[in-house]
Amino acid sequence: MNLEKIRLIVWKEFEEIMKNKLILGSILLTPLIFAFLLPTAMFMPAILSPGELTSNETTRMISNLPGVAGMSAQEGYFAFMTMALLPFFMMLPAILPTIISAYSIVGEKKNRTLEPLLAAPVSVDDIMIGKTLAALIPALAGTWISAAIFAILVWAMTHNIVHRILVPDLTWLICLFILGPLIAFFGVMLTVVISSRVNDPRVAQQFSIVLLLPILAISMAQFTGLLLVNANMILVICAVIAVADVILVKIGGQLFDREEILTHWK
Amino acid sequence: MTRSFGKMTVVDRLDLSIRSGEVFGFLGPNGAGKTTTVRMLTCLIRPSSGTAIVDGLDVTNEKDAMQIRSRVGLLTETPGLYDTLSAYKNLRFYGRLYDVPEPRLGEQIERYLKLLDLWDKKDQPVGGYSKGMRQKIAITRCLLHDPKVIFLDEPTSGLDPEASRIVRDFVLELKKEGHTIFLCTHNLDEADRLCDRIGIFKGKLLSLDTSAHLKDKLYGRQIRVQLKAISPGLVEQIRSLGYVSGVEARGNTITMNVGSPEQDNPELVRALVKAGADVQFITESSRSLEEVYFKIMGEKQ
Repeated sequence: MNLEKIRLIVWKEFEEIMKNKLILGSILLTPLIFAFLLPTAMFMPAILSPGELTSNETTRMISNLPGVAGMSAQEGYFAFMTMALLPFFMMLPAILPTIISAYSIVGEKKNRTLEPLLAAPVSVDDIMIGKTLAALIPALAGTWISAAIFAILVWAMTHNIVHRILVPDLTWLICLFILGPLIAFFGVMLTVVISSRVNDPRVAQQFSIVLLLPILAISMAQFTGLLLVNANMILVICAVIAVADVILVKIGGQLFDREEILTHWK
Repeated sequence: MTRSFGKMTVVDRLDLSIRSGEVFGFLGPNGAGKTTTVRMLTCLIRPSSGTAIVDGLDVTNEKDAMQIRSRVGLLTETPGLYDTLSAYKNLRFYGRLYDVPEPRLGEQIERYLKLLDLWDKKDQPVGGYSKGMRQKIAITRCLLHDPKVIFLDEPTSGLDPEASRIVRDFVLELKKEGHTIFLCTHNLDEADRLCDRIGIFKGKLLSLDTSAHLKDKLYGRQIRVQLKAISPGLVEQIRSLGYVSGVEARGNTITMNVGSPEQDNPELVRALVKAGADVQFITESSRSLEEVYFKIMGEKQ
């Protein structure tokens, strides 16, 4: 492993990202929309009209959930919402790295820039690590900054009512710092595998969107009260995704090989 | 070296030696296996069997492969530049990947960009460059680390005559500097002008020699004699001379092959004068490499 060459590749990828308005816009806007829109839409109404909550069907459903017993309607609603919105912040590490890596790998393939890169005295492992880091760093930074803004806004809106910090709790921390990176890594590796068969970055992104489906399913289950995520459940999900990551690294490693890229990638 | 893809053999027992400082032309039609050969020699793909030694290193040895990559320069079929980055940033990225130290890297970039008249445009994104300008940047990229051996895959393909000429002059300049150049091309005139030796290749190496020797071997040396008039029976008289072959007459001009014009022409002129012919001009006509190429290709098909 040559750290200097990995750093060069990461830096080159960053320079290309900075010149690509579509990618730059996605990386900057999506986390900001999540950070500002979710607390405003989901917390503001409950703060401005607390009376609505007592007659609300959702609030009645929430009050029957475990862990909410004994809380006021408003407090229970806030506690539920902070957990219900958590899957949205797991969509960011699923979406952002696939956008970046699709352009970084399929884009190079489409523009036929891979051959000179493969001809250079740099190992394919270093190229892959460089490209992976170039996708992970902005994606995770975007996720964490977005979650930080969300946490600050939630605190600012709710601290006078609940008198404690709702976000982040242990489940949020595990999600942000363990599950998020694992999902992001999965997204990049999935893009590497898909990249060997497609020639358009947008097609690679569309395939990678499949990754969103389980997160959406968990999100829906949360909102309907069908499933309530907790730290233990998240750790089990982390273990499953870690195993999937290892499998994808093996497949991706076989596909991202000089000979394979030049002779079999379509 | 041999390279097969599934059941199809693309490069079949290629066996050749290229001298240090030589410009070697590798000619062949599309799909002949030229790019596959270059990829094997630059350690991008492995031979199915056999091996090659590049600058003293074995292409099939994994440890040597990285050394070979750092010692050779490769101009790929397409320039393969990062369109959103400037020429300077493209070159700087590759220079550093090839471990060119500072300030040498900056000096190399400046030297080549000034030589190729692109220094003033160095900060513009290469996406806005013309095809010729992009090709110049790609050539510069493969020279930054001062490689001993340079592989040029179709360097003038798709370029206008002016850009092609600049690239050809540049190749000659590199030859003067002592680089060994492996030139894949379709452009037969370019190969004739630039290459010390030529290999004609279509899956197999069909022929290997200097351009002049290839022409001589296939056609002999042809001379053209222009007479004031051709009298009846003169052509038959010439055909009967033991040292000429392939005699053809058109108008008042007779063309024929001789083994050595230096020795045979005086004999020939004496024979013509004795036969009553008035000789106006006698010149050696040269065959083009294109004729040689198509003859070899035709014979092998």
